[in-house]
Amino acid sequence: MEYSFSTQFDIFSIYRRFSDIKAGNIYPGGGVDNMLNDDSEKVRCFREAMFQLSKLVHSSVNTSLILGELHKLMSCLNMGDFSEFSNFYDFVFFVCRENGQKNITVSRAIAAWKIVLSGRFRLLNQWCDFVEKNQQYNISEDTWRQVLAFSRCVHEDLEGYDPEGAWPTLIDEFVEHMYRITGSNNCSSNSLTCNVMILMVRHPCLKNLFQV
Amino acid sequence: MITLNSSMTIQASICGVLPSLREKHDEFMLRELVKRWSNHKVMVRWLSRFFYYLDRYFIARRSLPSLNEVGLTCFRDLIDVEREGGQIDRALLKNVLDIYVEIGMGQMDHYEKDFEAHMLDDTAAYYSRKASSWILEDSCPEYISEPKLLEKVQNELLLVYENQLLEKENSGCRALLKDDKNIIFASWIWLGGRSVPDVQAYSKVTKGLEPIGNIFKQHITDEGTALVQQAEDAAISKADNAGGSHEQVFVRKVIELHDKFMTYVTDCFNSHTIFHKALKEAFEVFLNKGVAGSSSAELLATFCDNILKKGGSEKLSDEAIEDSLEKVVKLLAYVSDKDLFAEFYRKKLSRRLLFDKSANDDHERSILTKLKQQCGGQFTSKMEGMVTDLTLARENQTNFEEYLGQNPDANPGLDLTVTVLTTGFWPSYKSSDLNLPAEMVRCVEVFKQFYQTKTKHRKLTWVYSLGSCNINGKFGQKTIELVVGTYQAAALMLFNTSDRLSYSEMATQLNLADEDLVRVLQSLSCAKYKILLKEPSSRIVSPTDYFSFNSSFTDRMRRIRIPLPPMDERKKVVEDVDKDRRYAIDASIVRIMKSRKVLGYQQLITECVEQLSRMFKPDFKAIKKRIEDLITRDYIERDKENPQLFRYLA
Repeated sequence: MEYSFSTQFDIFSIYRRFSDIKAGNIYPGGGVDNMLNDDSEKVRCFREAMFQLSKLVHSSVNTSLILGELHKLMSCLNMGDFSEFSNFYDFVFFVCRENGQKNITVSRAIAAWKIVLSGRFRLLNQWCDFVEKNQQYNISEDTWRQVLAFSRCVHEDLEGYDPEGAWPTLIDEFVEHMYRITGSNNCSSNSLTCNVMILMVRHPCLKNLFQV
Repeated sequence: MITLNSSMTIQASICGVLPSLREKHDEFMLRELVKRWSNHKVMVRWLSRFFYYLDRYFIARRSLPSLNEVGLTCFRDLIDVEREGGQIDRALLKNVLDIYVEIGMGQMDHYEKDFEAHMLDDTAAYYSRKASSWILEDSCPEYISEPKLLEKVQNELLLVYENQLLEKENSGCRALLKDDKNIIFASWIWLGGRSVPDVQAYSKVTKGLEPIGNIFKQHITDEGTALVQQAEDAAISKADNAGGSHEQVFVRKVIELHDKFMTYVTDCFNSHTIFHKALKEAFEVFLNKGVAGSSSAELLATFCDNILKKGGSEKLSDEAIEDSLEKVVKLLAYVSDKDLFAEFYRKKLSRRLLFDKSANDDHERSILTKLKQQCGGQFTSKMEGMVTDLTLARENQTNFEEYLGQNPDANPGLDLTVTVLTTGFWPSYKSSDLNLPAEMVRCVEVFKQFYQTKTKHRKLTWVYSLGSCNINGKFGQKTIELVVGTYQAAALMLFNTSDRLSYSEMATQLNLADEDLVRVLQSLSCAKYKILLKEPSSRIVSPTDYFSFNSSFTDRMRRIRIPLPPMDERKKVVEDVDKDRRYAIDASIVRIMKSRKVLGYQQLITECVEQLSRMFKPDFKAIKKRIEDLITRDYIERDKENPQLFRYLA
């Protein structure tokens, strides 16, 4: 398989390669090697391939244009298929990273969410407003991914959100913020943590937790 | 006509009562009595406004005596049944008793004469009968030790009425606690606790102790919370003069409270675990609240400092000091932020040691031993290191003086004392690269040479901010010895070569950060002693000011101390502790994940809290943030399928 990005930035081929690497089909050098059975070796190759690809992206693409390119790509993909969409969602984070950075900036994350999650996340506007006002740090890949999961399992009234779940803190804070402004639910941040505490105290095997 | 009819009705109804009562037996008779009585009451209520006199006459003369006798006999029988352990209708008894009270028209005479006296006689007779039969059946030790008798009494007097007894407003458990009536209380508990060894009674009794334990706990919590409130009020009213003595009073009172209730636990409650637990939980509740912005960890550290430092607010004998320290350390067991205490304690200990404010070395070591026993060696290792450092520093100083004696060419030109400290033990201090006056540079060089002869591989970092200098100020009227910090001394020495300096000139010549220079100049030109004249003269220092030596300054003392304005250390301590906590949480998560490889979120949190609880109680949110950070740093990853699951990445 040969890929050529020589002259112009082509989001389609980059996306194709990204998907291939993720599916475990491609190794550095372009060859397919099924002999790699060692897990750590696989991980190493995967990272190497991703690193090469990201270098390629940064050398060939004008970062300010990338959102428009994503738009184009999105219209050509079958977004009805969730696994395809989820893959595309991860891809968006991948190309939005700036050179060598692990995380993406808040402003870029918000712009990307507005494109990718439009029509898929009922609280999208509230979410973006909240993040814009309250998050001063960059958005990590884990948070990015969990936002997709959050958008799928939570309804407008925040039903389906489990305060004891392992959501990233940004999402926890968003939910608290929503409860506060809607006032529909009397679960404030305090009572959220209180619930957890009481649960833990009552749980017999956790009894020794609070002994000094 | 109406009169006649009505009186007939009453008579008829009352005449009907007696035969109908006689027909019934025992409990049923009483039920009938109560029913009839209430019928009668209804009727009487309707008729009484017309026939007040008749009503009273008939009831008093005709129905009462007979009713009384019959009622009482049946009533007694019934009570005997209960004493034997039979089930009876207590509500019924209550109703019957009400009749007696009502007959007396609200007065207790009838109740007392007609009922109570008989009842008490009867009770006495019953128990003496019982006792004589037990005496015959049982051997002596059985009679006394077997809980038969006690259990009876206990059953009747305590367990059945336990809740009412415990919660009685004026004489219940709480009231007894409040009035320090521990003797009554103790005997009462003793009664309950006596039969503990008896297996049958055991379950009953432990169940009986739990509610008492809860009340005990609630009571201590309330008293403690009241102390917190008192201290808060005192803090607000004293906010202006910044006394800080209310904190001292608060800790004293908490110690007293602890002593008092600990005595209850050991003396009255026989050190039963339920009460130890209640005491502990109660203290944990109010000791982790904090008073007027300071945590109790800080208050306890300050309290220790006041006891241990020279000229502290407490004037105590050696024994009293030991005793107080012992008790503070005990209180620390209830405080969850032990790391915060350690940091404040270290900060204050360093001041005591470095500025020679520690009153007694033995006490310093003694409290460290106590802390070590309670919180473990790791907790006190740094503090012990600090105390040891100081002993070594004194030795080192003697060596240095000997060295100077043997090497006359290495004369520093000034009296120099250097305290060499081990970096890790002490709180972190800012060491700025102050440009020292030439005289002091020479001192530093000499000491470095000396230190080189002792050790080769150690690096000396000079912390000038902690230094102190005695310098002579030759003022117009007289020479005054000034006791100042090294920064202040360096600033003053600049005026040996210049008469007038701008703020920025001083900043460049001293190489001091604005924050430090402002404090230094504040202390020299705006405070009590105006060694420097500031232009324009005002209360605050600004970067456009000019300074000159105030040769007309004088004071009636020959020697004065010019302190630097205090820095708010609390913020830094809290920040340092927060930073240390982040590392501690990180380390704990990595340790757990390394051994477990894959772990659910809730379990990870639980184990992490458990691991760290000896030092502090981590907040769930903080742990979550650290998990996220560790994901970003590729220590762990979230499982692709199940977002609640984390994996360790080797």
